[in-house]
Amino acid sequence: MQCLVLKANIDKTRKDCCKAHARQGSGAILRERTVSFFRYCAVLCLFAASLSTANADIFRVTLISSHDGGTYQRVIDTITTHIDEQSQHTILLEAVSLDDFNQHSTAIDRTSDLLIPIGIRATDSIVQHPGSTSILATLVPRSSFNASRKKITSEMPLESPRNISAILLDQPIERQLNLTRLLFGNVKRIGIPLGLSSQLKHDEIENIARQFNLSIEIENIDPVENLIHQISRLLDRSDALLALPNPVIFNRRNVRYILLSTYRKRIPVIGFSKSYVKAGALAATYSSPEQIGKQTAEAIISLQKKPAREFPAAAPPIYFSVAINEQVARSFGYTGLSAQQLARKISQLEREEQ
Amino acid sequence: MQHKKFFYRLLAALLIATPCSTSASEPLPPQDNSLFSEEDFLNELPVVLTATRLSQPAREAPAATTIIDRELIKASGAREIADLFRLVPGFVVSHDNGYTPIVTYHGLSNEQARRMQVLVDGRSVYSVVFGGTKWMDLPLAIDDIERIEVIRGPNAATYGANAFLSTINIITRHSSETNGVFARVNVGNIDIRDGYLRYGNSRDELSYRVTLGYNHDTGFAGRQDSHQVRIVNFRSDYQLTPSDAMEFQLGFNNGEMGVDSKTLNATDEKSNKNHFAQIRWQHHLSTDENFSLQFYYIKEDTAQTYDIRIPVLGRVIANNSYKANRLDLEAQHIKQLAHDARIVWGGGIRRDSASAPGYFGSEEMPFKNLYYNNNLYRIFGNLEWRLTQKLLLNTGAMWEKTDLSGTGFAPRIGLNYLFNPVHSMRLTASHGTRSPTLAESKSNFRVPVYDSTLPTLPTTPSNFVSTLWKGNEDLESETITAYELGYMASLPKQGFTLDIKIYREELAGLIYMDENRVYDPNDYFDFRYEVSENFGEATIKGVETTINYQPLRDTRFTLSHSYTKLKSTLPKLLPDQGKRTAPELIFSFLAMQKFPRGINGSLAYYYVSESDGLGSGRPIPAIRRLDLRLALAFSGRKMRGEIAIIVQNALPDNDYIDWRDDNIFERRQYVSLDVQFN
Repeated sequence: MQCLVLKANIDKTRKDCCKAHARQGSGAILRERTVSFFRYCAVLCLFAASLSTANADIFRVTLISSHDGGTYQRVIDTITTHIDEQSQHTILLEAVSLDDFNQHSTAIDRTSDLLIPIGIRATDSIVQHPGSTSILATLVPRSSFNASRKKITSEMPLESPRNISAILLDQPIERQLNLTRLLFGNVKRIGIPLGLSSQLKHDEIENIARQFNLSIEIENIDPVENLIHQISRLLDRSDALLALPNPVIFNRRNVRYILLSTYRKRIPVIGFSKSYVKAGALAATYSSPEQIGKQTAEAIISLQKKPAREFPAAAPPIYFSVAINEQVARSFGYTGLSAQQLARKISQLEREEQ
Repeated sequence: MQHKKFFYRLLAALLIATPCSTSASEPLPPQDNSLFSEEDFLNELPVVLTATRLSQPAREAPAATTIIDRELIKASGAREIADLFRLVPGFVVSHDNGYTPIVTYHGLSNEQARRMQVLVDGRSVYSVVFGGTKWMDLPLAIDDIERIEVIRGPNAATYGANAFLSTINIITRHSSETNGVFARVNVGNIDIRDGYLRYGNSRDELSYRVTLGYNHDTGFAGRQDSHQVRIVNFRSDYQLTPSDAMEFQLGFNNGEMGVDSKTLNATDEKSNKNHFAQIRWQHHLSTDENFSLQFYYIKEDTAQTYDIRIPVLGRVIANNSYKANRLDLEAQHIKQLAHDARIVWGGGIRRDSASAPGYFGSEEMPFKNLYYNNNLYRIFGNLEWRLTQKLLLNTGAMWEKTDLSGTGFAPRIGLNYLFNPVHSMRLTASHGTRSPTLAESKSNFRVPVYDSTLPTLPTTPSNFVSTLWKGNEDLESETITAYELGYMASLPKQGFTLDIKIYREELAGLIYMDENRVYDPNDYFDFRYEVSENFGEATIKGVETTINYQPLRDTRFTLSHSYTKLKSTLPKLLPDQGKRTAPELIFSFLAMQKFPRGINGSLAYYYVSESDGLGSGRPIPAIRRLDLRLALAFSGRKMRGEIAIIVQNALPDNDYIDWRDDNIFERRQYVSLDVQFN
């Protein structure tokens, strides 16, 4: 199944070509099941249309989602709405499925000014197709994005390599530490299990914690050794546990063990996602697909204005929320916590720190 | 001896399991090459800390609560679950015989401590027939317990029927936490031979464990009260969807116990069989709303017959066997109504049934196997409402209807005032009811007498039938009205908490049969029998204090103290009986220290002032007891373990009387070895 998102109001010439498949209206979303012949025609139509409008003031952006529906659609919808409101009809958004991209990568690469893979599957796939169009991955974890970036295949000459950047899902550690500080003050020892592949190294985290006046305990997790023993060693010298995104430590298989053993020792966990909070972490800063979508839309707008040379570095999420597990908070005796207030305070602290 | 055979068989199984266990499941293999996807941030995870697993913070609870965690369980050196309650203020742990611990709170109890709710993972385990808890017959290994919450005071709105004087809430470990092979062996004097073997495994959304256990000792010196109990316990947890969890438990135990009776000069053996099955579905609608539905089935089966020859009178055959079961269905809904309000409400149906040829004897001989039911319907609800940032209201009630005593209503209102993060107070008023047990209501304990040499008696089917005691179908529920003023101080940085409870409890309509005699001229045995009746009243006042202090990471103390003033009017009892069933002073102290090189030491001191037991009716002198534990932990690449020496009642020349004159608690010592492979 494929999904075409047409910013129909910006592209009159394409209308005739795609009449059969496009529904008119602002930000209209088209979802149709067609036989594969029609699908093929539709895609061809799109590219023909795009080519015909290839003039300088239209910024052509192709969104490629890793999977259909759900989260990815929410990102696409937010980008579409936001671009609708902000841009002066100069951005052409097209959404194609990853299958379609894989089949027509050369054509899509040639007719786009910017490729936006949504999710790590699409990102990992796109970097492995030759091309020169800049890539702005979104809704991707930092560790996986870094791994994907290394696989990049470029047709550009060596002196100007293919631009790639990302809007990441990982909250900056400063934000998580701010939440920790707001919840516990500076009295608690914050235990941080650190994986080998962790983005931040031991010393960097210690430096940041020193700036925050927080006492931390780091355990470098050796994947060969028993994780239970290592975590339990860390818990013995911690009053709270800070979870940094790491696939070896905080995966689906270990969530139960980590949350049960921390709860037994009365150690609250600061997670990195809303789902970790639902599972039993006390609180987390996180960004929703909508928040990531909004930031992506803003990045598209700013990229339209900037020359390609000024391609930004991978960015952590700007917009975020705080999630609190009320039942866990109640059990730990943290009362009267307001997620909105905490989020506001963290934003304020971030502004002050800048 | 047969029990030894079983023990050594278990030991052999253990030794075989040990080398195999190195190939046991790897719970957490390294997966460093796997890519982290956005799904790891955005997809739902299973809800791990469910409402049943979370405890209410002490500062906000409407009743004084004591939590016994795994560290305390281990440090106490207890082999028996019942022994753990020595750490709880106001609780007395004693024994009717070597295998029948009696756990009482605020006295008034005979060997059946009936005024207490005892839950294991939400399952009421107090006896269907007698209302007391058979602590040795719970198909539950002490190592599978996650923690025990003891709620001191009436609390039917939260814990249901029988949460009268207090509630013991045992929570077992989640099956995903007990991966690999675990084994424990205890060997000591009084022929202590215990063995436990547990295997657990987790596969994606399914986890399970099986625990086998064997428990044996010879009980008190000079009594025929040895026991051997075998248990099998199975628990499985299945995560149906991230929001739906199924929990399934099965347990079975059987055992043989020695029975003696000093007064009748008889000895015999008793056998117990119990089993249960429980299933619970928990559905999480969101982080602040969930629903659970549980069903369980419990069966008790005890076989025991006294066959006693009394000179001149004849041969008395007393059949103490009974069969009973409990079916219970309960639904519960928890919802955070708003940021400052939370409601828990639900309802349940229970059916208790029992048959016993002796206890529920029919009037004519031979006895018909009478079968009695008690249906119980209940609805309950509790609202927790934060009126202001500092003031918390806890109010709730339970309404129940039982076949045996009609309807009962148990409301409660509590206010907690949180002065600041350190100090808080609570003020609670509650009213509770306890409906009569099947034995209190329906029993008609009759024993036939044969081969009598008394003149002028018929010879068939027996010479005569003696009635020992009778229930009373007109009984009403017992009632309690309790007021509690609590003060709590908490200094988390210093590792210090203090809880003081000052209370007054007024009990009325207490059901007793002791000394409530009816003359029967045709009963040549003793010309009388006893009948249950609502004749007791009591006022209990007191202060209970708990201090927990962990000054250093490796040093922890816990102290409990209670001063109890019991005034009871049990008019039918002898003047010196029942007045001091609650000891005036109870004290416990437990110190734990971790030393370098994996050495752990702990010391527990218990003091119970003199009291009267309703069992023997004679004064019991004050009890002092010191328990010591010294352990050495060791570990390898794939295993961890500990070897410990435990001495119970270590004070020199300190044998004490435990509840009955003929229960002399001598020093007990045993070695405990445990090994965990994963």
